Amino acid sequence: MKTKKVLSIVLSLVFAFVLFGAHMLFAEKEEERPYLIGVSIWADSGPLSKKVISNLRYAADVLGAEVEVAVDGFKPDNQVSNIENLIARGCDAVMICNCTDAVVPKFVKLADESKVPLALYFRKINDPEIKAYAESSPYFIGNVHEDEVAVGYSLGKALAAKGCKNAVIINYNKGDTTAENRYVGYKKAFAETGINLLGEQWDILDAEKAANTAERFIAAFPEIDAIAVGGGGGGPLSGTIRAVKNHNKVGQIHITASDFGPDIENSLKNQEVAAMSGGHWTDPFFTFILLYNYVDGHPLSDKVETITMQPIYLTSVSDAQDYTKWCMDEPPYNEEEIKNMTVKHNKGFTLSDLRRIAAAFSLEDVMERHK
Amino acid sequence: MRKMRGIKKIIPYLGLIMIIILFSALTQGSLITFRNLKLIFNQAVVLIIACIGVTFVMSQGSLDLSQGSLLGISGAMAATFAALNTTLSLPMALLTGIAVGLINGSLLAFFKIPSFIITLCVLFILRGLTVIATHSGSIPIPFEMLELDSYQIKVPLLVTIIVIACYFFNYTKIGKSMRAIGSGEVSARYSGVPVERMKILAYLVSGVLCGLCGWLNVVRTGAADSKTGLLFELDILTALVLGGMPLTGGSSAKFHSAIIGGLMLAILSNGMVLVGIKAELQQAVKGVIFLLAVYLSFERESVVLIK
Amino acid sequence: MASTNGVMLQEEDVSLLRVDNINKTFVTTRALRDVKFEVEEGEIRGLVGENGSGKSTLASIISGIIYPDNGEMLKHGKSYEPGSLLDANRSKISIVVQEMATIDGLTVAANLFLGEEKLFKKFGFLNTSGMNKSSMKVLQRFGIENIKPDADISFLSFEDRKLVEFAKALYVEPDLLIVDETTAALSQHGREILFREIERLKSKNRSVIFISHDLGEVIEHCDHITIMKDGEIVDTVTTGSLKERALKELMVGRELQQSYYREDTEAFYSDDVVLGVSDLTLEGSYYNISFELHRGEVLGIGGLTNCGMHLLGKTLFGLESASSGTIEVVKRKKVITNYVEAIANGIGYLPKNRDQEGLMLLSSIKDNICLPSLSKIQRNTFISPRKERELAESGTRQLNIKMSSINQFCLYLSGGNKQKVTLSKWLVRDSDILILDCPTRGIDVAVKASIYSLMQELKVKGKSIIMISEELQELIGVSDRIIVLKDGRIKRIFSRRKDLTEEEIIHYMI
Repeated sequence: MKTKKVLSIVLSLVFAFVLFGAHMLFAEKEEERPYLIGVSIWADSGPLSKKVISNLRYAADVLGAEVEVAVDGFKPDNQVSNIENLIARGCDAVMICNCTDAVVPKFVKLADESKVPLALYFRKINDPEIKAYAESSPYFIGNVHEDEVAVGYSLGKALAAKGCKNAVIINYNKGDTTAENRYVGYKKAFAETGINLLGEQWDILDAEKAANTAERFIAAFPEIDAIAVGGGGGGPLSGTIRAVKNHNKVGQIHITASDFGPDIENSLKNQEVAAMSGGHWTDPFFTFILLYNYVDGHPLSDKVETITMQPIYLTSVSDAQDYTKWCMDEPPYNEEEIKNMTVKHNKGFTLSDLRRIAAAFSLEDVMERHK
Repeated sequence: MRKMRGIKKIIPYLGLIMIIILFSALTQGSLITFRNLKLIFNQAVVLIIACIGVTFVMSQGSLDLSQGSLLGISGAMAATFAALNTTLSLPMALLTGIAVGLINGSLLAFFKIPSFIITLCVLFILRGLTVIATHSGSIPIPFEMLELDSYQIKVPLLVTIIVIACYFFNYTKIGKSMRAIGSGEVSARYSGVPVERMKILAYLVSGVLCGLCGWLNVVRTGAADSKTGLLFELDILTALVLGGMPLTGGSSAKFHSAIIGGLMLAILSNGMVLVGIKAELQQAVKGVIFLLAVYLSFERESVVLIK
Repeated sequence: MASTNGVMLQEEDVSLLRVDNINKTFVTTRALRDVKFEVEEGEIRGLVGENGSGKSTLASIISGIIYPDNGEMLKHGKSYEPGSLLDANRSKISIVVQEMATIDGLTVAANLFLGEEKLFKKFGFLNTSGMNKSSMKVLQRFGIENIKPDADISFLSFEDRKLVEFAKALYVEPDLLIVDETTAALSQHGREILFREIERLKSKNRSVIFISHDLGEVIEHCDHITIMKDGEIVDTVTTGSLKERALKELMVGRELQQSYYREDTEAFYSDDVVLGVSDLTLEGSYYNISFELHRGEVLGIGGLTNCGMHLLGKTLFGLESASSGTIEVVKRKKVITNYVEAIANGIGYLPKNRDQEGLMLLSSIKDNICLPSLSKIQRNTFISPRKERELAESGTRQLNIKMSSINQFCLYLSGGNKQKVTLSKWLVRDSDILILDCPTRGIDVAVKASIYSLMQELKVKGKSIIMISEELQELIGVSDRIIVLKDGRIKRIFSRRKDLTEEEIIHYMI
């Protein structure tokens, strides 16, 4: 009993010593260091997220900044924790792809409290109330997003061009802004071109679920000739392709998807995929540019800005080859072009220049600039 | 044998100190800056409160795996009713917790199904309900409720809960009876412990505290999401085992496991982020540490005696 | 009493088993020191001693369950070093251990041939029906064919499981069979089978080592008796005219007090009724039980194991609910319906199965003792650690429990001390009515004596005791009245008197 007490006192003393002793020892040192931009992302594996991270790291390298990545799994509590952690880590700015509009007020509050600028990538705030709340904050800088309705619409049209009549949609979870907007786009295209929407399934985030769902649809609707994969070039698309292959319906059932899969060229060549949108991993890059300029003391705007960009569409094998050559093997924006997007290196750079660059982004655009 | 027991008792403390020292060194001290410590506290509060609740269940040698979904559904209830009237949100979260606790406890006490099966089923059922309640998306709460996520509320709340729970666990008939059930249900019954009542009570405590956690979590994130609390039950289990809680419960169940374990897991998660370990690797590291903790704290004698 | 050094036979004759200078140490306790021991062919050897004297350790070493630190063993003059129980079986030595050794979830047949399954392997598959047939034969030979070979062993009664173990030990046709403290678990019927088989072995010039606390039984059946104390062999005596009392003295190592049981020969108790039981019936177990328990009375309840008396004990404590009838604590005019009420109204219960029902083995002595009394020492829900300690200390002092501290786990206590802790729970609570189910089962002479004197002490203080027991001597020795149950019905109530004999009671039991 006595030894136990003595032991616990000793332990608490050691604990206190370690806590405060080490604190003194390592007291925060103020020194010159590169800008640190925190990025919270849903995963650090998978083709899209890997490309996003590597592209951001390249840009940061060019500008002499650093990127800190934290993974949130698209879970609200993890996203909040990540932003807290990134701020605590000493990030000068934070960017995140929010899993739902509802968590944005909390992000904004955290940014306000710690006076760290925040911006969103791949996202637009749909809820008007939350949008107003976020825009009232001085530390919410802005967001970059694709016109996802247009994505769905274009891909829907591509299905119609293949002569499809009966389609189903497999999508990410409800509440996910991107997924819902693509859905709206697809429906619009289907309505205009007379394609029947036989069924829809939400909450599909991985290959297994996608494969099972697709198999069920194929079994239930013999007349099915199109599957629109609303989200996920990685898992959901490969799962869907697998299901179609299993039923020997390659070429009979046309698939469209957003976010390029790992092997687009073959997928297009084998007619496994009819059309795809993707290459939008440049989107976070524009968010990064927004934040970099802000942190560097040259904010591009004193208002909250929304930048809209277009993804790249691929419908043929040669498209895919060009895409691989010009966008994947080489960065879509080279060193000089990146530097020119900062006020530091290019005094005259403005927000409207950035908007123009983002809006112009396409396969042809990249090829033209680099050929 | 008895010496080993003595060493086992301090393993959790040593582990906590080692983790602190390790990550302080790896992060050049940024782990123990005041700002980061506040952060760790903020992230650990919900975990510690939930662990305290489950401590009562585990001291009886039972498990509560329904916590993850309970966190989700009580959060969803809180957010749904907050839209009507913000003052309704907390009572609704607590009521959800009480209801689930009563169901868990009654099923265990009267149907004699192993607790992990019951609570696992409840976990699935509640996750389904959470998805329905959030329309497989998320429900925002009124902005002014974000103000409730403050240290002025959390610190006194946590301290009060710790003091009250510690009192009941260590110094009253309730706590002692629960541990007696873990040490030997039949013997406890033969010594006059109202076993069924105690089982229900333990799940009630665990439920109501988890309900509170659901509310705190919603207030913290500003939204109730269909994925809120996914795998939370495993975090709790890991934290408690890290804190030295024996899976068999009984007299070696200690109250401090909840606090030490909760802090350890929070520091571990925070530290690994600060150091910049990859997400997949973080999971693996947690798994290895969990295994190590179970190995070190396992009461081999008790396995023979308690099923 | 003829005391011989070992059993002296001709020098050239080789003993069946010879154990030479065996030592065994468990962590810090020396369980055996320089043990020398010989068993001859065709001999039934008794092995007695108090709890913890090293009997079971010696038996385990001979049967290969544990290994000695040093020393050697010879069987028929050849070196014998069993590596396992199966190894020993192959050398024709088998054992029936004290604890439960059957494996739940397996059938009787699978338990019987555990480790010998290859006998029934056909093309790599286990020939279950062949195994069941062979099992049937084995069971039939031992007269326990009521046990089905394909039954799951966990559904068998404790006694039947013991008999299966016994059959398992016998079917290898051992040269030497060790029976370790098994009879306490057996009924009259089981014992008859056991001793019949032992005699059969003897007649075939095989040998048996018989370990038991029941000295009468040992004297009755053994040729020689070896007495152990504190890990050493004290003496080996020829049974002959040996008296139980002399044997006890050899075991304890000192003169025993004059009387083991109480000295008075008349029933003596107050007229106040403390517990009234009327017309209590539990379908399938006991019927129309009515009696009154008086202040200061020791009421014995006896009968065969399955006569319903153990369940009756549980019912009186509110653990089982009777189909009809009432139990009333007269002073408080309170009808008992569950165990919480029973305890609140001053009833205490010592279960038969101490390790599973009586104690929390992985809890401290303090926790065990204080558990029933928590509501007594709490003050506005607060239970002060000081009060708990005081209560536990008073309890352990009263019964002179041997321990390192009150925080010691009960797991590490000897059987007698465990029983004392179980009793202490109710003593510190100051229970008025104690229901003791087999209070001296499996404990040694010294603790037994102290439990009897404690009962006497309680009786004098005006407490009332219901003692359920399978030992008739004990019932006669300490009870004021004895209720004899047969098939769940009261057959006869005896009052204490000088010339009450076991035969008289047995007459009503069967």
